[in-house]
Amino acid sequence: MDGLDLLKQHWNTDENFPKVDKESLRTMLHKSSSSLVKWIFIISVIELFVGIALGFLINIEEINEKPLLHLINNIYTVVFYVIVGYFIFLFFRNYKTIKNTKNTKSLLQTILNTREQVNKYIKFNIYCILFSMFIVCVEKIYSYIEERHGWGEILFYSVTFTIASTLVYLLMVRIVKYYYKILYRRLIKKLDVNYEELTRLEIEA
Amino acid sequence: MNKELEIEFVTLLEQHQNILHKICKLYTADMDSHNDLFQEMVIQLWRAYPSFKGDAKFSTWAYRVALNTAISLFRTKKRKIEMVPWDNHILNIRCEDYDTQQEEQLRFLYTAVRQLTDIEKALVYMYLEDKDYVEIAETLGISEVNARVKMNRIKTKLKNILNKKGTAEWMG
Repeated sequence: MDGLDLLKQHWNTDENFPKVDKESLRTMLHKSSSSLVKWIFIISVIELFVGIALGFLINIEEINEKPLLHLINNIYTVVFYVIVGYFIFLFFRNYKTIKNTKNTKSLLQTILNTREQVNKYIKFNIYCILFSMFIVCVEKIYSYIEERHGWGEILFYSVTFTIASTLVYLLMVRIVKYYYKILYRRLIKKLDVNYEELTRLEIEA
Repeated sequence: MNKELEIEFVTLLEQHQNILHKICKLYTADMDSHNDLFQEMVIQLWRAYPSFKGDAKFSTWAYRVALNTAISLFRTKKRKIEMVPWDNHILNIRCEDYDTQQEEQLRFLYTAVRQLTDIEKALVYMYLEDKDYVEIAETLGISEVNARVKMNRIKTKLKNILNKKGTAEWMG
């Protein structure tokens, strides 16, 4: 007899399971879920708010008094919040489409898409920080030129600012990558593996 | 959600709870994980219950949501304390009724099934429940042909796992 057939024979007659009574079932209904989607939701909302807070922090510091840079900064602020608002709207819209009654592949796809949207949001924030750092660098160099420092001094500060900014940026990217590695392993990997298995099946056929 | 709906749901679930237990048995290896998954399935079923139209059988609707919970939503908790394996628990109770050799074969089979991927376990569950390939394909969101191909691969994979364990001769 084939292994699965033997299992099937046992399966159909197996009634030896714990019997959960109505009262216990009712208690279970009101317990808090510990599903992956719930954790993904909590982490995503935290990340969305960290992004907004970061935007505030960058804006609090008056980075320039030059009209052109001031204009750029204002346009940047408006664009930043419009895009953040759009990301938040997309996230909640996608989150609402997660339904456990969908077929498995669609469910996995919706969860992963929702998360992917947040990943794009994080990338957007990193680019924004890079842009802000660039503006600060330009402003500092411009100030040195205006204060009529010697060219040697200007060059020295320009190089120092650029190197320092690049290092800070690279460090930040490294931290974010490390954070994702941990997050990915804990939350998304199971979903990714299962979704990939279903997709691979379609490609192989 | 109102009380009537809750009573209706709990009554239906009590009658069909073995569906959930059977899925838990394939996806978990110890009683505590079994209970955790069972509870999460109950929560997910309750959340989805307002969308249950009644045009499908409750059992069909429930196993789909339960499988989705096991595949896409359930997060295994890390435990420090050593757990009681499912099979020991069940088989100890039933040891007088069962032929020892068959028990051993079943234990190997369950262990082998648990080594499969989440998707493969879902196919095994539906195969054991005699679901046709149209329903299997629909539940997983793949084509019927692919469901058949996958099922054949699973049978081969199981055979290989069992061969490695040296139990091939037992299984014929």
